Amino acid sequence: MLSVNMSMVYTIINLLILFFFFKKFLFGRVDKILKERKEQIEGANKVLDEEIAKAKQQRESYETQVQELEAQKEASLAEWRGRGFEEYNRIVEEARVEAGRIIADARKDAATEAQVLRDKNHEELKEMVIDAAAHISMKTADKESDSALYDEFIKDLLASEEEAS
Amino acid sequence: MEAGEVVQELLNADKTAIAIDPGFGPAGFFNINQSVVVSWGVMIFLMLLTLIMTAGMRVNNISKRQLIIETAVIKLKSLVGNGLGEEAAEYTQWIMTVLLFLGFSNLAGLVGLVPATMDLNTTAALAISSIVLVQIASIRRKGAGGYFKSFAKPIAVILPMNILELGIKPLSLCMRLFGNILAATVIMEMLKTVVPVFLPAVFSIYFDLFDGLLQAYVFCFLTSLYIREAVE
Repeated sequence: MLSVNMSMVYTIINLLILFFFFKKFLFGRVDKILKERKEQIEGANKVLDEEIAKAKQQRESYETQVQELEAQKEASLAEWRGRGFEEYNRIVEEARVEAGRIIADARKDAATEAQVLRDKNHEELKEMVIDAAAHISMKTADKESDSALYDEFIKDLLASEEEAS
Repeated sequence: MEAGEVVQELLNADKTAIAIDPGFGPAGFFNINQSVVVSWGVMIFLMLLTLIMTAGMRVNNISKRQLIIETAVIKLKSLVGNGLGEEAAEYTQWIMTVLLFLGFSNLAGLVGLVPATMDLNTTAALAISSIVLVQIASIRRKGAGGYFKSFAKPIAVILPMNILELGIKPLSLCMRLFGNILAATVIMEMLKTVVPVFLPAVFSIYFDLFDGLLQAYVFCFLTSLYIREAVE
């Protein structure tokens, strides 16, 4: 026979007792631990995020520094390249001027020496002409010996001209 | 022995565990049934298990014991939460309590006890408490005015049916659970009479273990659906 009595109420009371027991000692404890763990993980994540943000900031700072150094390096290189180019041009110009001066001096020396040689040849030629005139005037010669004498004179003259040049 | 005889025998058996006579009311009305005593046993077992499993819980470097209880609670919460939905998540703990109580009560047959759910008082208590919770959830969600108006929704014509549903829902919950457990017990009793060796042990695995847990889950799932329906 199906019958209902106060056992139904006792069972409801039992259920309520069990519910409040579980709420405190099972769900409460487990939820508390899970919550604390979640907070711990969130805290760790927060610290991690802060560290990442700091690292990013530092990286940006380093990158800026590196860029500044790169710019400085480029500026220094450009400056020294310019200076080097100017120095190179100056040295080349000086060398060119010096070379021109040396060439001019050499030409001047050569011209002076040539003039000296020419003067010397003229002197020798004059002496030879005078000698030849003296020989001709002191000796009686025939037509053939005169011709031979003139040939010898011309020969000596040409030889002295070649030596002078 | 026929099934009807077995049913009659089970229903007519004296279920009184402790007789209480306060001097008023119908005879035997205040008696404590065997099912209540079994449910005390189940409660004591669950409470001790809880205290043992949750002792010395830590946030880090947890023990295997703590890992088991944390996993069990999380899985159970997920299982119940799926049925309840987000809007009714605050009732998860009650449904979990009912699920554990019912599950372990139905498993009492494994240790030779009569399952508490074999008594109509137990299933009626569970069904009434669940339906009261459904109504509380509905009132909290919609307010008293909204709650009473909801009986006339979606159209006013179905107002009587909605009012009838207030009684039908707990009755169906109660009878479904009671009927299933009773039927399982009847089948087991008949099996023991026909084939006393080996076969009852095999069928016990299904009826005492699988069917018991399944019925507990069905009861909680339906209660969750009712609560979800009430708060939506």
